[in-house]
Amino acid sequence: MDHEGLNIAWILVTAALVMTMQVGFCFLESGLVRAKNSINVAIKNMADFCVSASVFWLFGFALMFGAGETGWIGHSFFFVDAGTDYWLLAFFIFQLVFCGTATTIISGAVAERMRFSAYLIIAFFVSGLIYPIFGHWAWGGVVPGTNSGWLNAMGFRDFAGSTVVHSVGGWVAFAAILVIGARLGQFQKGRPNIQGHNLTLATAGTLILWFGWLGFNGGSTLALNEHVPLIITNTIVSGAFGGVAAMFVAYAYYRMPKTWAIMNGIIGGLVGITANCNVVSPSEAAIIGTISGLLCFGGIVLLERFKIDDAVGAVPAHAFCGVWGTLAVAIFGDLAVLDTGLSRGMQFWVQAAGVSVCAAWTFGISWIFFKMLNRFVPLRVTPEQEHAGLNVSEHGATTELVDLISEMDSQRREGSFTSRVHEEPHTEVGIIAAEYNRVLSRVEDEIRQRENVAEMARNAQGEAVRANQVKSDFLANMSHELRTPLGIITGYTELIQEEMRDAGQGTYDEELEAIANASQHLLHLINGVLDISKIESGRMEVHLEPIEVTDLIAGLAKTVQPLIRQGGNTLKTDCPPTVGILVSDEKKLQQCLLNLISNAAKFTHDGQIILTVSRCEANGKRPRILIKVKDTGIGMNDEQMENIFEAFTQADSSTTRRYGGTGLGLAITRSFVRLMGGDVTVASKPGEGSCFTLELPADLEPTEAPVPARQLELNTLSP
Amino acid sequence: MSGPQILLVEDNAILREMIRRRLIRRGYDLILAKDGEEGLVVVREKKPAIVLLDMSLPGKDGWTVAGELKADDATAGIPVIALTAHAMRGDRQRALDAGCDDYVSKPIDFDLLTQKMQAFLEG
Repeated sequence: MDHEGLNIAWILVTAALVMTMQVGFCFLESGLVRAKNSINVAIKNMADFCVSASVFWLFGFALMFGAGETGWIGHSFFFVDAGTDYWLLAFFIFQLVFCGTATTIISGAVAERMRFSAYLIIAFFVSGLIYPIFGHWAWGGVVPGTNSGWLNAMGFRDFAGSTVVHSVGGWVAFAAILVIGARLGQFQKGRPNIQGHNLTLATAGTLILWFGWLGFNGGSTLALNEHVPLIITNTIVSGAFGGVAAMFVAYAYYRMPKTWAIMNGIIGGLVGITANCNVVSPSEAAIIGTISGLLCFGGIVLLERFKIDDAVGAVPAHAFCGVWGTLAVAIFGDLAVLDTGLSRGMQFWVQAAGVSVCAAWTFGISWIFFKMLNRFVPLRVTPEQEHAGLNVSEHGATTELVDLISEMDSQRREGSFTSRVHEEPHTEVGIIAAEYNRVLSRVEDEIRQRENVAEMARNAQGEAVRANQVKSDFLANMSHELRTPLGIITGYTELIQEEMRDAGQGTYDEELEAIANASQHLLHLINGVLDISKIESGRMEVHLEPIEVTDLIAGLAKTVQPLIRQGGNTLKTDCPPTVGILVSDEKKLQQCLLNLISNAAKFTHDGQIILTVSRCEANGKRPRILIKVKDTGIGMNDEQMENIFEAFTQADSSTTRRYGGTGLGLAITRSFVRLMGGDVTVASKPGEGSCFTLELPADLEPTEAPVPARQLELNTLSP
Repeated sequence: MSGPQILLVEDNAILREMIRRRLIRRGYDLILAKDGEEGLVVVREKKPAIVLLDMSLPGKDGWTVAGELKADDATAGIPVIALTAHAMRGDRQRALDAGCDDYVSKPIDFDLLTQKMQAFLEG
């Protein structure tokens, strides 16, 4: 068998597996960030491989593996073009993909806020300077004919690159996230709250990484020999135990096995075994994996505590576990296979020295470089760009979903629901868009319906106002239309009466008197009906003025004299001057009192009518004026009293025939009194007479002009 | 009997005749007009002592006529008594606001009317 050919084939195959890890990182990182940054992360992964590959070919490989007398840096193999040295080329390819791995670790940690241009510069810096130089110290001399790097010469052993690749990447990432700071809103509520948008993708990425890692570790022998199966076994075992350990501790900490914890546990386990997979047994690999898983988890929790934002957990997985894996070489490693000639203790110190130098060199140089670079090229995007998402702000790239969401967002902002969003056919987003458009149509319909209802309400209101106006006009017209012929009737009747009396002809005097009385009655009816109409339609006005009560009563007494004498009655008034001034509607009050007195006179014969006025100012009650109209007439029983205030009813149906009247007087009186803020009550005993009590508030303010009673909103007196 | 001239502006012919006859019985000298325009012409020509003005007239209504009478210096001094059939508080006030000096409501109480007229003639 051509071992040389087989080895080279193995190197190439495992190099291809390691390049697959680029895909793994791409999926992992894309899945763990928000959708609006997913494209940006993917492009960074792709771009940093381009940069690192180019740079590594140009001079990275030379610095790392070139001949160098000092042991600090190489200086041959620039512009790698090895001609027929196919082993060197295969080796170069293998190392190139390793460099790509180290570089791409950083993109995960700084995701969602690092400027793309700055990231490319960092990729250049890492792959061209940091990685190859430290790589020379640790691995220089592997190429036949070159001197060893100084760490290598010391006995530092990092088999596949827990330190050289993973710690380097991890520490640079650490420096980067410290310089650029946490993502906006990540620690707002104390705990990190930014969620990855596609954990399925991230999980797939993890599995692809694991798969590629078999080449990463398995190919580092640079030969397909008896060590390879053990190496691969250890790789799988360590990764598995890392995952399981992380699962348990995540369950203990969070009460559920969190996906990102398991993923990082696996990766931590893989990083941890990378340095020592050739010198440990599978049992030791299990231990190393377990501790790596726990360490990784612990690292993530620690970073959270200190509010350091690592978007994918790259720093704990690669830096911390890388340190552990490198130290584990001395702790667990088979010294014979290791073949450095050092004792376990010395080996440990050498390993420790190596990881310390790595941390110092990598972190230190990176930190200084980033701080300086930040002054010229801001490493972080603006808050607006970060909020909009780097897909859009850095690459103008968008997804259908983002487009739909921004369309919906602008619609909401403008409140315009007449346009429709774009429906991309045969896509899930298109289905959502279609449903949304249907909802919009429904919304438009609802809005239109509500507008119609509002329109109808407005119209109805307009109708109501018009109807009201029509009523007012009707009342006004009716008033005029009825009074005019009535005026003619009464006027001519009186004229004829006068002229006949003058001429000494009394023949038709009685008849004419009847006509005159009838028209008077008609007039009273019309006035009553119009008053009731006005009251019921709320159009009655009141004009509140100060009234000298004693004068009012005196005037009233004079006016009713004929009426009183008609029934053979006497009127007695009692209105002490202490009653004073009453603010009320004088005309209405006169009408009410006239009504009460004429009723009393009507239903009393040869009796007495007594009018008493008093002012009442009890403590805690509103001041009021009380006017009592008492008669010694026929009186009423309870049943009759119930109806008297109703419009168009009298004490009973016989009353009209015997006593005349319209049945409106008391209804109007009560309405008027109530409009003026008071009330009227009655007490009566059949055969003994009735007493009507009119009560009015004495604390009203005068109005300058008549106002609709409604507007005054007079509170009725409490009993 | 000749006394001071009273101008009655009333569009209803029957009412006009009734009022005329009743006032003549009480010794007044009446001139008549059947609408606002005619009334204004007569006032300017004849300068009556009092104008009895029906408020609801065809064409130019009573309120407008009152306003014009009061606006014209030549006629502003003539007392105007409104004859208003509406008998609603607002209408009475409206008559006064329009420039009338007093009002009686229809159906006319002639005793009250002559009382008011005398007040103006003697005052």
